[in-house]
Amino acid sequence: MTAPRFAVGARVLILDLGKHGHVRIPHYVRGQVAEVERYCGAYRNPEDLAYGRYDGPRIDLYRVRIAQAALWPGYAGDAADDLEIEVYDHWLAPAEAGGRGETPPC
Amino acid sequence: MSNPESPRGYHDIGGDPAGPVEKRETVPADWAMLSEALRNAMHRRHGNLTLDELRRSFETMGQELYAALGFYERRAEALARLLEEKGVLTRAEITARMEAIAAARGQKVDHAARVIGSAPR
Amino acid sequence: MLICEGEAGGDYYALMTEAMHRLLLERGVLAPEDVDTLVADLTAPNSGWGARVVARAWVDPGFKARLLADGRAGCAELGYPVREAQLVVLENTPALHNLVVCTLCSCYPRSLLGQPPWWYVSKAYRARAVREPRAVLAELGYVLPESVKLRVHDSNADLRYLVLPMRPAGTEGWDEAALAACIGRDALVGAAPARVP
Repeated sequence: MTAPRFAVGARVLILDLGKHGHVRIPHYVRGQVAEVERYCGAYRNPEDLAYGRYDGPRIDLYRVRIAQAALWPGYAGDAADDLEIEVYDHWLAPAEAGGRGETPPC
Repeated sequence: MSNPESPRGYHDIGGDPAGPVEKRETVPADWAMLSEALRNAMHRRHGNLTLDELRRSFETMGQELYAALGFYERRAEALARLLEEKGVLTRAEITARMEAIAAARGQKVDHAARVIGSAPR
Repeated sequence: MLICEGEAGGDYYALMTEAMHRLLLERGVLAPEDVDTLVADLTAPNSGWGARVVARAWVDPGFKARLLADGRAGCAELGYPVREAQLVVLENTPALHNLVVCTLCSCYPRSLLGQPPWWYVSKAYRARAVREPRAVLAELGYVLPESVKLRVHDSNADLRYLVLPMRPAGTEGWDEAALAACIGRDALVGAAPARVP
């Protein structure tokens, strides 16, 4: 078993893969820079499971943290408020690298 | 920001404007628990009909139907679609059985409107 | 997109479910005991189970530490078999309040808490809890002090979440049953505080 690609505290970019069909990464977090809160283990990819591919590879899953003020322009709550969400490895890139030519961070 | 041109399912509503959150207390009906159990039982016994397949099914039934149906109703609809897709039961077999059960109760099924009514005398 | 709380088709899908059930049993695709077991698995869990887990955590610091480290193992100690892959327990403090939502469908720790409340599966909650969580909390009857940081958890993938609310003042020395009565269903996802009944 190889070590997870991102460490807790790493800054990551949530990619917008532009995929059709069943995915579990909602639009509102795509293109955001986030901080890895925890590594959650490896799970089968919902993008396989949704189409009857039950024995595809297990994908590393991370829980990441994003500032609410970064997500929502004019956010009405406290400046410290944040949001956590689970993201599969293939939807992430190191934030420092600026992604893979998909959507640049704002 | 996410790319506005990127595909976005009608179920992907996080951040959208909506009306007030109503604190309604509605207990799920027995049939809703049976419908959930059927999907779970298919998965446990046959390894198919994963939760992600159920989600994919209601994410592709069309926005109009997704918007109109209640939570358990759209999951039951998604289950029926998956059973046909997997070659377990056809829609025609399901609707024929619905009509037979209804007829025995003096009822009639309107599939287009998705309602059950009294049979004309 | 116009958000519509659909509620059509109840009688129709009740009948469809009955038809699917009969056909699946008649053809031997499912056995009656398969279905009965799973109906029981769906209907047995309830928010009282979650309340007892929280009450134990309030009185037993060792249990609380184990629960926070591994929610499933903690619930198993009390005899509650959590069947979701992982249960993450989120501790509320005077400085931090946690709120759970699933924007894409309505994921919820069903094997511990049972079926989610109507408002939790409503599209208005799914849509708005991430963007304006303080307004949504207020609509649910809980005005969070501005000095408390709010953390929203979108339960979108394989983990499920249980909020560990703060123990109400004035409950010193109470036994676990009395404490559990302070913990309502909505407190277990962060939509209400624990309250002395």
